[in-house]
Amino acid sequence: MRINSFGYNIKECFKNLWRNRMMSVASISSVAATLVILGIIFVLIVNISAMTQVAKDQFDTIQVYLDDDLAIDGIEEIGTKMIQLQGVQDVIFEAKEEALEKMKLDWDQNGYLLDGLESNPLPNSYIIVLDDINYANYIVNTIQDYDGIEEVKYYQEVIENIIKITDVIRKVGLMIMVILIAISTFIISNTIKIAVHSRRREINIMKYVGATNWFIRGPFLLEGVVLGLLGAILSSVVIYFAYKYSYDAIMEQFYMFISAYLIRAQVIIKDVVFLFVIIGSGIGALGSLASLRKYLDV
Amino acid sequence: MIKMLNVSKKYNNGVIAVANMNLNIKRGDFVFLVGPSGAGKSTFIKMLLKEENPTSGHVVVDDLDITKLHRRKVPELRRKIGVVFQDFRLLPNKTVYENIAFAMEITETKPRDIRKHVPMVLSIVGLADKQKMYPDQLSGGEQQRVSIARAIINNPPILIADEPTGNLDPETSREIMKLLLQINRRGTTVLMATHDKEIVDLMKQRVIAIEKGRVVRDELGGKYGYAD
Ligand SMILES: Nc1ncnc2c1ncn2[C@@H]1O[C@H](COP(=O)(O)OP(=O)(O)OP(=O)(O)O)[C@@H](O)[C@H]1O
Ligand SMILES: [Mg+2]
Repeated sequence: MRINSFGYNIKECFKNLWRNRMMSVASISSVAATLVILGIIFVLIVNISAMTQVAKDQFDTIQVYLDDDLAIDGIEEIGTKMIQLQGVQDVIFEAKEEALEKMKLDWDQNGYLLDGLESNPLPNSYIIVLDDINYANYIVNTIQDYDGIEEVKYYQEVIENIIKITDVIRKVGLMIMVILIAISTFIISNTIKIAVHSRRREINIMKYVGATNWFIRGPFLLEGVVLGLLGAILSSVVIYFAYKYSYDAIMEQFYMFISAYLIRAQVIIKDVVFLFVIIGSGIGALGSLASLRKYLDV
Repeated sequence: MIKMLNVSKKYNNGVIAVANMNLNIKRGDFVFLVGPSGAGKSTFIKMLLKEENPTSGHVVVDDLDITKLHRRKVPELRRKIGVVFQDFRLLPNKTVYENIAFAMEITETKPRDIRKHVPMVLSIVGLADKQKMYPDQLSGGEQQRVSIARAIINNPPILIADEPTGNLDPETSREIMKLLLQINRRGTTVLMATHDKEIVDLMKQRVIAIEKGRVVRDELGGKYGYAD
């Protein structure tokens, strides 16, 4: 007949949730909806971050095209100057003949078109491999002032745009997250408030017999956390299948292009479940504590 | 056991429920608290339980000045005081046994001790054969016995009863009083607020009369002293 055992508390908890099933369903759905949206934002951020990383690795080179009339001495001089700049890891020379060969390979079946050219229109160039992407601007500006430079090409804008987009997604995502968490905390707190209200006699008696506030909070806290966790489970399932489906669809559509940078569902779901469990139970605990404040103050 | 030193209580709405009260109730006393409706009896009891705080003065319970007691220490105070109310305040979805055991679980008593003590207290209040019944299957007198059993299960030094016989017929009331006297004889200080003239006159215990928040009479073996 022991009432204060864990098993008993769990049983009571589900009994109470069932008694209030309308509100329970509303709470679980709101937590699940919050977490699903949160999960979408999370998945987006993780994937974009991964892509940004790949992009950074790919665009960490600067193309320096040289004037066609620059003599071999001049070419070498520029090369030695560049290697000494801060942030430069390596400098690779690409002669105009090599560039043409490469282009032919790139053009593949249409490569024969290039055979008809009278003279090679491509310039000699250097490829600078960056050590640290933060020096890119400084390097580009310095090299542009050298004599015998035709053009300096750097995919800075691409990277900056990616970083900007990621940043916006992160900020907007965070804002949406905070609002959604507040809403579901509010809904849970209302559910618990009903539970507390229907048991105010019991709480009142508990107080008179000298129960500590934490003892009284315990079962309600458990109810809130269970609601949050049920929401977390539901949303994890939704996110897993939605992500898997989208992943497969993108794989099919774009084949290797983007999909190479996407993170597989099995990998991402671990983080998602972990995140959801923490946030779900956090929302539940916060909601029930908020609703209990008034009743415990005697 | 209970001391009031210049205690006053003014509610937020301006009502002065207790005015400069001085009282000393010793260990093992049996005290009736009488007085017209609105005299401040319940307010007095609420201050002992720290449900209300005095506006000025000091309330001392079991040698402890509870006036400045921290919120976290309030449960500890309440475990020293068993309380019985006019409306019994039992949990309808728990049996007699569970209602009493509940008070022990809350104070984190070992299950073994609970199993030992509950039947003991049930036999003190004369309900040994009703432990599996639910409150709505019991008479008013029996329900009040359950609530008394719950109040004394943790062996508190003080038992407070606010009109415990208010809902009971005279015969049942006398039986409840017998029980309270029996508990008092075991050393528990009993404080009972009541409007029950017959019982106060019959018991011949200390009577403290309050009017408009002031003690107007305090005598041993006293009478109820009001006509109602
Ligand atoms: N929470 C409260 N807020 C404001 N005024 C209150 C409050 N509780 C009691 N009072 C007032 O304080 C005065 C004393 O009330 P109290 O309940 O102590 O009287 P009592 O002696 O117990 O009366 P009764 O015999 O009818 O139970 C009354 O005038 C009452 O209206
Ligand atoms: Mg009263």
